[in-house]
Amino acid sequence: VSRPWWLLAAFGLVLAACGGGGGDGDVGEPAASGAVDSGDEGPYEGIEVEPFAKPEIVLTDVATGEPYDFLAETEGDLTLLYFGYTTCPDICPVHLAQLANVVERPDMPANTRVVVITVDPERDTPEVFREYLDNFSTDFVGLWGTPEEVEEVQRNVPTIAPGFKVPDEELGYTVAHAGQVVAFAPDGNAYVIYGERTRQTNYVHDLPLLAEIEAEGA
Amino acid sequence: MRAVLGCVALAALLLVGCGDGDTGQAGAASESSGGDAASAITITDAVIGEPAGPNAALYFSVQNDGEETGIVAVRTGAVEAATLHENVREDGQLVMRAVDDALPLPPGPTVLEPGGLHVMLTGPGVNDLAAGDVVPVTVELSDGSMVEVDAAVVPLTELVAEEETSETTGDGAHGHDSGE
Repeated sequence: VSRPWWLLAAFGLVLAACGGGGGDGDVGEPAASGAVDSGDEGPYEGIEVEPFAKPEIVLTDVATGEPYDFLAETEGDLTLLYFGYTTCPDICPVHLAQLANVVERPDMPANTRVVVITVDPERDTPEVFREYLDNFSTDFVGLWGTPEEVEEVQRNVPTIAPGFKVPDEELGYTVAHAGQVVAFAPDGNAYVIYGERTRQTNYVHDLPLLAEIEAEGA
Repeated sequence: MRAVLGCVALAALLLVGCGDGDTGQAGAASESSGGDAASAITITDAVIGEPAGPNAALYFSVQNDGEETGIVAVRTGAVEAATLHENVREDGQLVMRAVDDALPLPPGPTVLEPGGLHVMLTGPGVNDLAAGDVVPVTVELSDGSMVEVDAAVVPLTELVAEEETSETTGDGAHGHDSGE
């Protein structure tokens, strides 16, 4: 297999994204035969992936302007990582609104963190990005870096491929980006990702299960 | 495919069912005028996600009971620009591109929904949209005929129906029901 497994996993998302667009069988096959097979046995409603460790990320916290050490700050927490941007009209706000709604429910794990990294650092200044995230939740952590830093971070997260600009008549450009939420259990490993068709009920089902996966000795 | 679209249409109907009491107008079917294509087109479930940033997205379901046509323009007086976009995955990336020329409407259903097709709303008017608003929308078809429909502005959390269908992300990606 020449492609990395996570690319297959991401490719499987095409099915979720384009369910109405035809070719269901064609698109489904790579995912079914790829490394996401393990998901079939798993308990989650999200898209199960071969577990991978939380990557090292140090970017600027848009609330404080200080460096935010992702590994240290989220250690032991159920961590939901998303890459988005302010001018994204379609799927970013849906993901963020769903996360805000679910995470704030009293029956959801208390130690849940949502960390959002802008893939459009040129337009999303730290101030702009913080204001945007506050529309969803003031508890969301927003991270900013230079375009080079943000690109490197995306390369370091399996299942996430670096975003790139797509010219757009109205907006100047949009940013093509991975568009899925990556869920890290408290043990520091990602087990599940959530694509475009995710429902809040999927999170409600999965988050308590993920919260139980703690590091040995924790 | 028909089953898939049926589920999507059902989800859209459920979505409208979740709306506030005063957004019922959005469930109303469209009115057409000015030509043959429009007379065969019914647009339902028009919703706009309450804006959280400078842009918003409009979604609706189309039923075409006539010949193939297309959507060449979408207009609403509430915002400056409404452009058709689609999200496609290219090497794992969600790439949003403007729909060139017309959005094809083959006979049968076409659904605009999060993560797929949407009408991007941009311009100063977007910030004035709030959940509960009803926005008149005009859809222009390939032959110049028009379809008018009211879109309800709804909270973003209501854009994706809560109810499970065979379209849930996990099932789809794992090919449980792909018939292999």
